[in-house]
Amino acid sequence: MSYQLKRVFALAISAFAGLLVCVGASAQSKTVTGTIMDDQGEPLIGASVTVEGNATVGTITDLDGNYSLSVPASATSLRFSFIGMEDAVEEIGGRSVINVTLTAGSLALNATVVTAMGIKKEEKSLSYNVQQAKLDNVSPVGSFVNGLNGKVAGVSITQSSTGVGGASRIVMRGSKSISNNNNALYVIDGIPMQSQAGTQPTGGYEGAGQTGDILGTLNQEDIESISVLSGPSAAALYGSAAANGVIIITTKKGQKDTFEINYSNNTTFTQAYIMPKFQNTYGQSEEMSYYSWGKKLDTPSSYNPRNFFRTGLNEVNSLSLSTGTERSQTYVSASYAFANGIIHNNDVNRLNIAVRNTTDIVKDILTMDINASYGRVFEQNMTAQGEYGNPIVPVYLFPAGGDWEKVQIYERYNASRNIKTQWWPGGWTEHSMQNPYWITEHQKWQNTKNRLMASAQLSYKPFKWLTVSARGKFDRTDGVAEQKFDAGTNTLFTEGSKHGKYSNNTDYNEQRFAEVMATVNKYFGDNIVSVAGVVGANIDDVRYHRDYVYGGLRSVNNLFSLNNIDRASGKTKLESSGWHSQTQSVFANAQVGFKSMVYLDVTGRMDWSSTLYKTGIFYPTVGLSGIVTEIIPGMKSKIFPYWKVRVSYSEVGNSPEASLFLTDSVYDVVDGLPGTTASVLNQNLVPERTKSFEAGTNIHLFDSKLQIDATYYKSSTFNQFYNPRISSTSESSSYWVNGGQVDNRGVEAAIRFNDNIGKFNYGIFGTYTWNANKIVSLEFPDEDGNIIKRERIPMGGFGGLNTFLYEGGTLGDIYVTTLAKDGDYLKQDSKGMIVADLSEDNMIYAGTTDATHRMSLGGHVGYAGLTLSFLITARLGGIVISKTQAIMDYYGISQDTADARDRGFIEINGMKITDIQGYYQTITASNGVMSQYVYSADNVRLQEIALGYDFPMKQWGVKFIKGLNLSVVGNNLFMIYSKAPFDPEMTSNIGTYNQGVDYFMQPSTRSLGFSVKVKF
Amino acid sequence: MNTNKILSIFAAAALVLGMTGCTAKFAEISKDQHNAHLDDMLQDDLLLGSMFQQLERSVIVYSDGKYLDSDYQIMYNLCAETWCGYMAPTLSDGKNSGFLVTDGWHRRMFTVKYEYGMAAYTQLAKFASENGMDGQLALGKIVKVATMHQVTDYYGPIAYSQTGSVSGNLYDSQEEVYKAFFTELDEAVEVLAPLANAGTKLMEDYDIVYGGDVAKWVRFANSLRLRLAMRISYADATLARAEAEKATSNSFGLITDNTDNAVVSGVSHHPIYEINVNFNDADCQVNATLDCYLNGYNDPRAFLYTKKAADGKLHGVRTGIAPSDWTPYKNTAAKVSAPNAESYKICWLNAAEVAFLRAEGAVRGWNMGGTAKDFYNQGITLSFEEWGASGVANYIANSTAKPASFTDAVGTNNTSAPSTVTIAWNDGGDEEEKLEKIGTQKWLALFPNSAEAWAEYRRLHYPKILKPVKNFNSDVNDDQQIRRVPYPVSEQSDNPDGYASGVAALGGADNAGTRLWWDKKPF
Repeated sequence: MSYQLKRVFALAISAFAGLLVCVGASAQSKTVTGTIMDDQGEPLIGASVTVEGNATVGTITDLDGNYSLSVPASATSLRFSFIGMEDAVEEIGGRSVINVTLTAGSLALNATVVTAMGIKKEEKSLSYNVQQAKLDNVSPVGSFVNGLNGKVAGVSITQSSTGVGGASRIVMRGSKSISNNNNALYVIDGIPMQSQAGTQPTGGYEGAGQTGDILGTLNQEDIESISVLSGPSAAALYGSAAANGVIIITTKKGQKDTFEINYSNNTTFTQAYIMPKFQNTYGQSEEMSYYSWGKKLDTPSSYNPRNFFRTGLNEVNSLSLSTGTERSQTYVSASYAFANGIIHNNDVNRLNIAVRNTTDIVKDILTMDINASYGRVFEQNMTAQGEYGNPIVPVYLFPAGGDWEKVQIYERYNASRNIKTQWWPGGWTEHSMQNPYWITEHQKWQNTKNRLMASAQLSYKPFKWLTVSARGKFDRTDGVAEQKFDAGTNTLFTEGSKHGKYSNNTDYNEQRFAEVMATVNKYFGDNIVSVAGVVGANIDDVRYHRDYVYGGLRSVNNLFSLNNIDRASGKTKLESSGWHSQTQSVFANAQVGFKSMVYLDVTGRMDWSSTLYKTGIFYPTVGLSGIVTEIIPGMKSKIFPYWKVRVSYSEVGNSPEASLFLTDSVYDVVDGLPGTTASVLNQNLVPERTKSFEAGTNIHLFDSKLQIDATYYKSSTFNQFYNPRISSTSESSSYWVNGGQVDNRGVEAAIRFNDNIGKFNYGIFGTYTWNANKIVSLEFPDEDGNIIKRERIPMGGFGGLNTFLYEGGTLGDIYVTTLAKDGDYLKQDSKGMIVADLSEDNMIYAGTTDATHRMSLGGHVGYAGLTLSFLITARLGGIVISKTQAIMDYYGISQDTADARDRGFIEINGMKITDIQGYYQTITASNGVMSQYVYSADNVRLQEIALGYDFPMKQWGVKFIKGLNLSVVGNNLFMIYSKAPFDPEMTSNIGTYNQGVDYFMQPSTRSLGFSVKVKF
Repeated sequence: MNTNKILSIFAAAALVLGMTGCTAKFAEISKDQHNAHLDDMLQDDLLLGSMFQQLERSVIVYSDGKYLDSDYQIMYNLCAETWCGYMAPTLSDGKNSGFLVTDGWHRRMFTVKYEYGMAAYTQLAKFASENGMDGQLALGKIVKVATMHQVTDYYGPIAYSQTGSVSGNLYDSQEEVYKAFFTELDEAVEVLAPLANAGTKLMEDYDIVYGGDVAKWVRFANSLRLRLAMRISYADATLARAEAEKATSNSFGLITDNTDNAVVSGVSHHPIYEINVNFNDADCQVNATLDCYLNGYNDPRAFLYTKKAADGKLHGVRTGIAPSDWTPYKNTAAKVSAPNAESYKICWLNAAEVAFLRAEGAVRGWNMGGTAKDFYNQGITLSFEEWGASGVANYIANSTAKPASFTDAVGTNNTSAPSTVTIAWNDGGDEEEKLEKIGTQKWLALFPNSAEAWAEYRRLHYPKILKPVKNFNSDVNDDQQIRRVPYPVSEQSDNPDGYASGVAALGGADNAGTRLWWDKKPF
C-alpha cells in the first residue's frame, strides 16, 4: 500500500477511534507519551490508549501513531487497542514513554480493500459489498478471471469456447441492459480499461478467428490483488459504466529495503473433456455418403472423434525483480507465455515487460509513481463455434464406418496445378464442411496485438489531512488480424478464388486518461466525528480506428499480400471505421464516521459524455453502515466479536457504445457510395439509469474463525437503451429508443471457516449466489412520443431458436421451434410421421439460459507448508440448447440415433415411431425442432484440486533461496452432475444473448498444471 | 501554512473546475469520420445520385457491397426463380421448392425493398421536392414502381401510400397499389417528356441503367406501364386496356430494341453464378421445367442458358425432392446441368418482353400498333438476338417440336412433358393456344428475370410448369401451385394494424395458397 494512501485511510480511521475512549482529563496526573505501531512497523493512527480499569481516561494516537495521555496517579497499567489487533497491556511503572507494537489478531477486522478509484478503505467502514480475491493459481493465457470462478459471490463467469486465449463473460448481479454491454468493467490501478473484446459470434456460420480481451494482454504475475465490486453502489465513483460492477486490478510495486527476485514457471496440460456421445455401430447410408443411416456394421467403427484433439500445453515463465530503498522502490518483470490449444495450430503466445518505480521526491510530501508496460500477444485459430472454418464440424459428423485414414491424407498432389490441394469429396460440403486437417493446416486466422501502457501519478501532501494527486495514463493497443486461406480451400470461403484468400484488419485502440483528485481527512469534536472525503475530476478519451481489406487472391497461390488481391472480382472489400469518445467527470465522495460505529457514505458524480452530449448526467449514492457489536454495549464477545449491517442506494448510468454514433446522422458509405442507414436516428436519448438498493451484513463468530457475509440487492434499470426491430414499412429495420425497465434482485453470500491447531490448519468456505432477472416493461415512445407497447421484442436468433423479450420474462429467455400439433395431439402426416412446425410465430418457451443459483464449496488442509485445497462449483436453474446434437442426429452419428435404431422405435407422447431416420430428419431439417434439444443446465463439478508445498528453506539453512513453492493444480477435473451434451458453462460469446447455445463449440477441457515459484 | 502550499491547492482546484467546461468539442468528437454527412451529400448531386442508385440496386439485388448474393438467393432464387421453373435449389435444408415457405426466407423481399428501395426513394423525393428537381423526382418514381411492383406481386396488399412511421403503416389493397403505380408513371412521364425532347441527361454519373438518358427512361416507363397493365388484364380489363394503349401510344414509344433493355451495369457477376458455383458446390441447378422446354424445342438458347452435364446433355432437377441427400446433384458430380450464369445479366425488362406483351394485347383486341403474330415472332427474334443465338428463322417456323418429357439424370423422378404447345404461331388457334404460345415464349425470353416470370405464370397460367415431386405445404393446391408469399411474421407484432389491414384487403388467409387481386383467371 502506498504511503500516501495509508495516510489517507489511517486518518479516516483515527477520527473514529475516539469512541473507544471517553476523553476525560484528570487533575492530578503524569503524562505518558509514546508511539503505537503495527507489526509491520507502520504507525497505527487512531489506536486507543486507556487506563486499565478506568476506561474513561484515554486518548487516541495521532497521524504518526503518537499519543500523549495524562494518567491519574492511581493508574498502574495502560491498555492499548486497535480494531483488528490484539490488545496490549503495559505496566506504567516509572516510565513516561511507552512504545507499543500491536500484532494483528485473529479478528482481521482491519482488513483493507481496494475500492473505487484505487482508494483503499477498511472493510468495516463500507456500506456495500467488496470482495477481495486472490488468484492463487496461474491461468496461463487469456482471461485469468476464470480463476475467480467459485471464489466470489454475485458473479457469473462463463468461459469462452475459443480454445486458448479467449475472453470470459463476467456478469455481476444479473444482466441489466437489453442492448448495452452487461459485462463488468475492468479497472487497473484506478483507471478504467477498454475491454477490446472483438466481435462476438452469434450465428450459425461465424465463430472462427476470435480474439481475447484486454486481460489477455496482461501478465498475471504482475497483479498484486483483485477486488470485485459486484454492486453499482461500490462502483458508483466510476459513473456510467459502473452499473455492471467492476473488477479492480492492483498491480505490484517494488518493496522498501528489499532485493528480491522471483521466478515462476507454470506448465499446464489440457485435454478435451465434455463432448457429445457418438455412435460407431451404424455405417454410412451409402459409400462416400456423409450420413450414418446405413446398415449395422459387422464390427463397430474404430473412428473416435476424441482422437482428433491433442493434449494442449500451456507454459508461462515469469521473472520479476523488486528492489527499493526507503525513498525509492522499483519493480521490473518479464514474462513469456505460450499455449497450444487442443486443436492443432490453435496457439497463443504472449510477451510482457513491465517497469514501475515509486519515489518519494520530497519525503512524506511528494511522491511519484511511474509505470510502463509492454505486452505482445499472438493468437492463432481461436474458433468459438459455427460452421465456417471449424474443423470440429466434419470431425463430429464423420460417418461411422467411413475411412478416416483417407481424410488424414488431407492434401493431394494436383498435377495440373503443380501444388497439393485439399482432398475432400464434393458431396461432403454440406454444413460448410471441409477436410478438418485442411482447415487446421491451411486456414489461418492470426492476430497480433501490441500493447503499450504508461502511467504516472504524482501525489502531493501539503498537510496531514490533505493529499492532492494527479495521474495520467496512455494506453494503446495496435492489432493486426489476418486471415490466410491457402489455395485448395473451398472457394465458398475464398471469394471464389482458387488461389486463396487474404484479409487484413488493422486497428488501434488508444486511451488517454487524466485525473486530479484531492483526498481530505478531518476529524472533529474530539475525534467523535470524522470526515474522509475525495473530490476529483477526470477525463477519459478513447479513440478507435480500423482498416479492413479482404479479397480472393488473384494469381499467385498463397501470396498473402494486398498486392495479390483480386480486385476485379468485385468481391474485394475495403472498409474503415472508427470512433472517438470522451467522458469528462467530476466526482466527490464523503464518508462520515461516528465513533467508529456508524458510517455514512455519500457519493456524487457528474458525467458529460460525448456519445450523448446533450446533457450531463448526475449519479448519486448514499450508504449507511453500523457495527452492531460496537453500538450495543456489552454485545461484543469472543464468540460474537463482530456484526456489521449496511444499506446503500445508488443511481448509476450506462452510456451507449461510441461506435453507434447515435447523435450523428450519416449516410453509410460502402464501396465509395453513400446509402441510407438501417436504424432510425433518435436525438432524445439519455443514458440508461440503474437504481440499486442493497442491504448486507457481515458476521464473525467464534473468535472470527467463522465469517459470514451476505448481501441482498435489488436493482431496476430504467431508460433501457435498446434498438427494437420495427416494421420494414418504416423503411428502417430498427429504432434506438429509451424505454422499458429490467429488474434484478438477488442474494450473494459467502461463509468461511478457518482454524489451526498448531502447525495444522484447515478451512472451508462456501459461496452462494441467487439472481432473479425480470423484464418489467418494454414500452418505448415512437417519434411523436406516443407509447408503443410490443407484446414481445425479438433480440435475434440462431436457427430454430430465438430470444424474445416479454414483459414478465427475463433477458435470458429462449424460445424454440417445436412439433406441430393438432389440438392436443401431435400432428402427423399421411405416413404417420410427426410434423415439424418451424415457424417463428409458433415457437414455444424453452427456458432461461441464466442460472438461478450458483454455489461453491471449497476448503483446504495444511500442515507445515503443505496445503491441499479443493473447490466444487454448482449451478442450478436455466437451460442450454445443443444445435450440435441436432445436426449429429440429422446425420445419424449421435449415440441417441443408434440407441433408437437398436431399440427399433422412438417413443414420443406415447406414440411409437419406427421410422427412426424419418423421425430424426424431421426434427432436424431446416434448423430443426429445437424443442427436442433443450437440456437442463444444472451442473456440479469438481472445479479445482491443488496441492502446494512451501519448502522450508530457512529451516534448511538455504540462504540464497528465500522461498520455494511447488504446486500441482487440476482444473475442471470431474463433472459430478450434468445432463447436457456439452459443458453448460461454456459460451461462444460474451454478449447478452444466445448464451447456452452450442453450435460446434470446442469441448471444454480439463487440465493438470505444475508450478514452481522461486524467490531469491 | 506557507504560500506555496496554498497556491498549489488553488492550482489543483482550478484544474478540477477547468476540466468540466470543455464539452464544446463533443459534437466534433462524436462525429462519424468514415461516413458521409448531409453537407457532403449536397455536393456534386451526391444525395440525389446515390439515393437514385441505391433505389436502382434494390430492383434486383446483387452483391453490391450492401447486399449479398445470398440476399438474392433468398429473395429470388429460393422463391420466384424456383417456382417459375427456372432453377431448382439443391441446398440441404430447403423444402421451399415443395412450396414450404420459411419465414427467414420469404420475408426478405419485403424487408429489403422497404429498407433499401423505399428508404432511398424517400430521401430522394424529399430533397428533390424541396429543391424543385422534378426530373430527378420523376426518375425516382419510375424506379420505385419498378422495384415495388415485385413486392405487391409477391405478397398482395402492401404499405405503399403510407410508409415511414416507426410505429407501423397501414397497407393498401393491391388494386390501390396498382392504380398508384399508374398515377406515378403518369406524373413521371409528364415531367420527363419535355426533358427527353431536349435530350437531357439527369444524374448521369450515378444512373447504372441508362446513364441518365431521359428518353430511354421514358421508354422504360411506357414499357413498365404495359407490363403492369397486362398484369391486371383479368382483374380490371378496362383499366388494363386503357393503360396498355396509353403506353403504346406515347410519343417516345416502348422498348423495341435490345439496346434499350434495362440492364444494370457494373455487376461483376449474376448472383446465380455465385449460388451455383460457390455456395456449397451448388445451391441450385437448372430446373426440370426448363429442361423440358429447351430440350423439347431443341432450343438454340439451351446451352446459352445452361451448361452441359458430363454426358453433354441438358439435365434439369425436379423441385420438391425431399432434400435428404442432394449430393449427386452437386456440380462436382456433373450429372445435371448447371446454369451458365457467367453470361447472365441483371435485366429488369427487355425488348422481347415488350413484344410479347404487345402480342398478348393484340390477341385481346387492344390497339398495340401491330398484329399478334408479328409481335410474337419479333419477341422470339429479339430474345435470340439478345442472347446471340442463331437459327431463329427455323425456330419460329417449327410447328412440330413439343416440350420433352423429363428424365431424371440422378434419381427416378421422371415425369411426362408439362405441355404439348408448339412454337410456330397459329393464327387459327384459339385464344388460349395463342396465350400459351405467348406465355411460353415470353417465359423463355424473360430468363432469368424470375420475379416477372413467376408473376406472369400465376396470372396467365403459362407456361405449364411441372408440379413438385412433393408439395410440403397443405395450404397450396397441387394443381394451382403456390400463389403468393405470406407476409413476414414480424409484421404481426411490429405493425399489427398494418398487418390486419393487409390481411383484410387480401380477402383470404395469409398463406401461400391465397390468390392475389390480379390473379383472377379461372382454373
